[in-house]
Amino acid sequence: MILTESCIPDGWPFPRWMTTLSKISQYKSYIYRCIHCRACRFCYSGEPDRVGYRDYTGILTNCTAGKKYGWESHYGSGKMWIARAVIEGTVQPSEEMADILLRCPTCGNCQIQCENNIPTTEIIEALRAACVDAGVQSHEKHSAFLQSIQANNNPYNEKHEMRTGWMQNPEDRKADLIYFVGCTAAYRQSDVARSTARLLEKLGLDFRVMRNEVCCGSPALRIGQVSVVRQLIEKNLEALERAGAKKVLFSCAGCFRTFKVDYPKYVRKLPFEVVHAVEFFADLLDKKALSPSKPFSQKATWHDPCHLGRHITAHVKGRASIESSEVKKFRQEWFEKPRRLLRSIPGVQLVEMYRNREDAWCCGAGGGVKSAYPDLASETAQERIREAEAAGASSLITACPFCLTNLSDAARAMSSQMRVLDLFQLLEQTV
Amino acid sequence: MEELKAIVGQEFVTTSKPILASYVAKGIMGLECTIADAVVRPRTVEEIQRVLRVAGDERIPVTPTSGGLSGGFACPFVEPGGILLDLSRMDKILEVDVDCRYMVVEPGVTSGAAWSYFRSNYPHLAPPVPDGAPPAATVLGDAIERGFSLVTNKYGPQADLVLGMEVVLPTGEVVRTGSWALPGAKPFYKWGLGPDLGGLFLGAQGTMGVVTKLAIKVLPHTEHKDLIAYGFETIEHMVEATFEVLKKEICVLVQCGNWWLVPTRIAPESEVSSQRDFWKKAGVPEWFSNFEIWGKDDEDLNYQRRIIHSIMDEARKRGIKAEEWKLHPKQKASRLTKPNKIAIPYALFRGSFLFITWYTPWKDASQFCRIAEEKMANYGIPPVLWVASIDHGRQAICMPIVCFDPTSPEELQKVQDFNRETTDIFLSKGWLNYRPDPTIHSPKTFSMAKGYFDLLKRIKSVLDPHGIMHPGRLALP
Repeated sequence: MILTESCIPDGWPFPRWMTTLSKISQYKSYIYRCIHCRACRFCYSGEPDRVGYRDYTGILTNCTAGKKYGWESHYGSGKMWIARAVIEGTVQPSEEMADILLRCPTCGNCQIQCENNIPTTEIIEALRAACVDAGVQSHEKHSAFLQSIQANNNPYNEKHEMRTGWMQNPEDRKADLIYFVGCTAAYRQSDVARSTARLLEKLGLDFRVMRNEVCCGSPALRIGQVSVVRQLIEKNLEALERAGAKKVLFSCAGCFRTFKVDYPKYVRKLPFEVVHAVEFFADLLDKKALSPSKPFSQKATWHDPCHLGRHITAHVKGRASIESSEVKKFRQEWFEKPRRLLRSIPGVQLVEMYRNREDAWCCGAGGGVKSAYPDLASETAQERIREAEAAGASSLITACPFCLTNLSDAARAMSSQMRVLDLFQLLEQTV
Repeated sequence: MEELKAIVGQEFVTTSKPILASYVAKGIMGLECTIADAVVRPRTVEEIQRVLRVAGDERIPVTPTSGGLSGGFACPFVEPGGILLDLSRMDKILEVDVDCRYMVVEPGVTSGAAWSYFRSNYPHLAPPVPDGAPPAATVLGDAIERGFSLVTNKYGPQADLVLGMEVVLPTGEVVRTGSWALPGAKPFYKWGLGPDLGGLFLGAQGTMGVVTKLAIKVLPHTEHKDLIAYGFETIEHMVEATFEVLKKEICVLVQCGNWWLVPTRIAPESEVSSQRDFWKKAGVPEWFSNFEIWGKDDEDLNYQRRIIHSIMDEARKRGIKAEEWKLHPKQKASRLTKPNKIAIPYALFRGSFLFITWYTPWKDASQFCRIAEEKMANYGIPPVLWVASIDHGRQAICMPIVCFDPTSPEELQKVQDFNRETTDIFLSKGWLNYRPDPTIHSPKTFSMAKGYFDLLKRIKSVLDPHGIMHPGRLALP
C-alpha cells in the first residue's frame, strides 16, 4: 500500500515518521521517474568519445560516495529507490538510512547527469530531513556543530563576538554593498575574508561587513536540520535590512547557494541582490574596473565548487525539461567567469582538469561529510589533487573556503606540492 | 550471514534494509521484482563458487546482477528474495586479443568503460556495446541476455558475438564454453567440444548459473560514419522500402519508428504537444527509418549513401512516398554516439516506461505495429513504436514503448492488461518475446511449447539440483 497522510484517519496514532511523508511525497512524481538507468553516477555520461589525458578520458565514475562504498544505495539512483521505498512504506527512516544518506556530499552530479530531470539533491535533503523528523539521532559531529550554531551563530564553536576578529575596525554604518563573510572565512579561512575585503577597498568600492551576521544555515540545511534554519534566516535578513543592503556579496560558495536557492523558499523575494564575488569581480573585469597587473607565473587549474557550479545552474534551469537558449547561455557564461578572472592575471597559464564545470569532481567536503566522514572527504579531495597534478597544474584555485580547507588538507595529507589557493587572495595579490 | 561474510569479507555483505531497497528496479524491461534478503558483492570466481555452495546447502535463492540495467529482471522475483549477487566489483577487461579480435571481460565492465578503454587503447576496434542503453549497462549483461548492440543489423543479436563464457554452476563447479572448454585453449572459436553448452546460459536470465567471464568479438571501428533517415507515410511503406536496403547488407544499424518516438522523450505529457499536426509541421515523418552506415573511407561511405538513395528512388517509382528526413548534425551526432542515453528520457512523458520487445520476421513488422498501435490506443497508452533490423532484415525487433504513470495502480494494471492481451495475439502469430517476463510471457509461451519447457526444466534440475538460481524467472522453479 502506498501511504500518504490522507490515508491516515484523524486521531489515529500513526508513527512519527509518517508525518515526514509529505516532505518526500512532494517529490513523488520525480522519485518515481527514476528508471534506475544509473547514468547519474558518471561524468560526461553522454560523451563517451570525450578525449582527456592519462587515466582521465571518456566516461568516468563521478559519484564520490558510490565510488568509495560501492553499494547501490550510495549512488544517486539508489537513493531515489530508497525514497520510493519510504513512500511505499517498505523502509522507514532509521539511523541506518541516515548513515547512508549522510555519506554523500550532495555535490549534485547525479542531478546534472539525469536525463529524466530528477532533482536528486533536493530529494536527498528531503530524505535527510525525514530522518530528522522521525527522531533519528544526529551524527555526534553534526550535533556538535548544530549546538554551536544555536549557541554561537556559527558551527565552529567560536564566540560570536569574534566573527569580525579578522578586521581591524568593523563599522556599523549603512551601505548598499554588504560583504557577507560566512563562518568558514570568518573563523577558519580568514585570509579569504581579509583578501576579499582588501580587494574591494583597492577597487575603491564602498561596502561594509556586518558584525551581527550569523551562520547562513547551510550546514544545517544540507543535513536535513531544517528547523534550525528559520531563525538564522530571520536574523540575517533583519541584519541586512538594518545595514541597508541593496546588494549582498559572498566569497563563500555555500553561503551564496543558500541565499540564492534556499532563502527564497522561506521568503518569497529577497529585498536585495545576491552575488557571488566571482560574478561580481568578473563584471568589474568586463568594465575594465579590475585589471590585475602583478604576475603569477604558474600553471593553474580551476576547481568548480559544487555550490557555485552545478547547484546554481540546476537552480537556474529549474524544473523545465526543455532547456531554453537563455539557460544554455547562462551556463556557458557562468562557468567562464572564474576562468576569465584567472586568465586576466599576467603569467597564469590556465589548464583544465578533465572533469570540469558541471562534470567537475567534488572536493568531498559538503553535505556534512567533512565533519562526520572525514575519510570520505579526504579521499575525495585527494583524488581531486591527483587530477590537478595529472593536468600539469602547480596551483589549484577555487572560490569556496570549504573547498579550500578540504583540498588544502588533502594536499598536505598526501605531501603534494600542489598549492591550493583562493581566487580572491590571488586577485588581491595581483591587483 | 557469517559464512557469507567469511567468504567475501564483512564489508561486502549486507542485510541493511535501505541498501536492499536501493537495488530494486521496476521499469525498462520488467515490473515484477522483490527485495533481496542480502546483497553480496564478490570479487573473485572462487568467492562466487563458495557463495553458491553455501546457498545450495541452505536452499537460499541467488539472483546474479551485473549492471542492473534490466529493470525488474535484475532483481529477485520470488519471496524470500534470498541473495542478490552484485557482480559490479568484478569490473576488469582481462584481455584483448587483436589477432582473434575478441576481448575477455568480467561481469561489471560497463559499456561506458569498455568504450573509453578501446578509444584510448585500440581506436581501430569497437567493443560491442549495447545501443540505446546507457553507459552503466554492462557488456556481459547485454550479451547473455541476447540484447541489441551497436552493430546488430550487421552481426545479429549480441549473443551471436559471444565466443566463450566462464560459468559458475549452482553447484559451485566452473565450466567454460566454446574452444575455451579445452584447458589451455583461447576463446577463439565459439563451437567447442561436441554439442555446445553455451546456449544454456544465453537468455537464461540467471537461472542456470553465474557467468563470470565473457569472451566476445570486438569489431572494426571507423571514423567514417553517417546516418541517413527517410520518412514514410505508412508502416507498410516503411517496412517495404527499408527491406530493400536491408537486403543489400550494407548498414551496421537500422532503427525505425513512428513520430511518437519524438515527443515522448522530450518533456512531460502536459508540456509537450501530442498532436500529429504539430510534429508534422516540425518535419517529423509519420514513420521513419534511420540507416547507420560505417565506411572504410569517404568513398566507401558515399557508395553506401548512393545505394540507399537509389533504393528510395526506386521505391518512389512504385508509389511509396519516401522522403529523406534531413537531420540536424546534432541529431545525427546524438544517434551516432555510443553508448548513448537516447532510451532514458521516455520516463519524462508519463513517469516511467516499459520496453515490451518482440521478434518477428522483418516483413511481419508492419502487421505487428498495426496490432500494437490499435491495442495501445484501446488502453489509453500512447502508441510509441520502435522497430529495428537484426541480421540485415532476417528478423525484426519490434517494441511498443509503453509510457505509464508509475504512481498510478490503475495505469500499472492497464500496462499488464495490454501486455497480456497482446502476448496472446503475438504468440498466436508465431512471434517471440525477447526477454519473457515470469508472469505473462513465459507461462503463455511455455504453455504452447510444453515439450521444450519440460526439457528445459529437466536440464535446469541437473545444473541446479537445489533450485537456487533466480527461481521464478522464465517461470522456471
